[in-house]
Amino acid sequence: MTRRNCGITLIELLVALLLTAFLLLGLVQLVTAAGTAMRLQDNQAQLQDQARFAMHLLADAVGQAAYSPEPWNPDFEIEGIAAQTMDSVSANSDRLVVRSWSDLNCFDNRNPDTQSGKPRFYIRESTFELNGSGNLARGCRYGPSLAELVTQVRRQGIVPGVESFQLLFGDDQDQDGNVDRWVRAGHWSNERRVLGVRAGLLLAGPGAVVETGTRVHDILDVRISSRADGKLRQAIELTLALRSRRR
Amino acid sequence: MNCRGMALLTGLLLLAAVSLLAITAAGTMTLQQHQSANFADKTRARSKALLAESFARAWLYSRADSERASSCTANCLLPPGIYHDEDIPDNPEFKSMAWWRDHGVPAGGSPGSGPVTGYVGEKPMESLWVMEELHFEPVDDDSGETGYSGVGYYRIFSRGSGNGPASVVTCEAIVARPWGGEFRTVEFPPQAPLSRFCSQFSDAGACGTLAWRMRR
Repeated sequence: MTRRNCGITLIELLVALLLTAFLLLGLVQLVTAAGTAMRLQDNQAQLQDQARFAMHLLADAVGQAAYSPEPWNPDFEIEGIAAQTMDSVSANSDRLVVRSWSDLNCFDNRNPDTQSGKPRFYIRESTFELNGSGNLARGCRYGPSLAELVTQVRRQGIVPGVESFQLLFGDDQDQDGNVDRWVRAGHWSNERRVLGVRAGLLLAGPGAVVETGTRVHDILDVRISSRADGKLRQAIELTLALRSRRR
Repeated sequence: MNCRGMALLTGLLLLAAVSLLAITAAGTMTLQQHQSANFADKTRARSKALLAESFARAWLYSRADSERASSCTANCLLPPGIYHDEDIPDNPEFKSMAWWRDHGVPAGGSPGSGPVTGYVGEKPMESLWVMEELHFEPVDDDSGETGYSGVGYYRIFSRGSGNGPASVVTCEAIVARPWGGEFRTVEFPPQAPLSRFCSQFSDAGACGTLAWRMRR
């Protein structure tokens, strides 16, 4: 009698199933842990990406505020931080409005209006605040004078997952070139003495990856309770200089 | 029926599945790594440009009154390194590295004296500046209130580069610098904060960086 090569007994099958079950259990735990770690890492990476983008965006806008092509010419005087900059325009959001003279419009295209072959300088006004969808939104207007500003970008959400946007302004009261105090919008002694902006953002990742539970975040002295949705959150605070006001 | 090789086949299938997972994860990680590396390189280029700009400002504040003819009101050529208004092309941010090497001054370098002084990084050509005199505004100072006879306005273009060929940042700053008076210039290379130069003057608008923007 020859033994069949492929046949197995019931006992063999049961032992094999038991061993496979143990192996699978371990494997499932391993894969679950790896999946969780990957989701967490992905969320972290996205948060960092959002933070980088927000930082880049705000640093550029604030850094270039009050740019004038002819600072000696009173015709080119401009408020770097516009009066429309406000505290608490909506839940968890301040509003930042910066202005500068620019030969590039809101899309960074050269102004088609030229003089001696060079694009003319118009006023460019950028607004940053949170929109209803939880995005840091940018609006932009461009025109030859404050009365003729034309909206080119209307509150376009560009940084997703922003739950709070807070601002403080560095006021140089004694005009020695150093910030003496940080104040809320409109509380500065004179707009021309604002040397810098502090921006605080609370960013939330896209998915639920951590244990649910509320947490209180302190964003530039404003306390914000996050929702118990299991999303990863990151608070960032930036101090940005108005580079047109350095002595 | 011959079942030999089933274990090998199953093993290979499992290996393929795990490899696929690993490759996907590694791909995502590589993308993230590239993103942050690009950002870091751009930040490095930006820092280099700002470094060049601050050295250009320091050099301007260190010039003695004798280096500029007091009666001159426009395009008063200072030592080499200061160009006349309109001498620099409209968009130097798009000029080649060769142009910058020919016209620019490395951070820490002194355009007048030739040899490089002060701070120079490992790669001096990563941080360069050029400057032009834009305008001169005489000041009627009979009462001696301002402490100077005129203000020169200078445009500084500074270029910083990172490791990658695309990581180039060019900034533009318009800096005011009073001339003709009894005040102290700064040492070059600077030994103290540059703000000390402008703090000598009561008129806040006549000294320091009055306009700044990113060009590239």
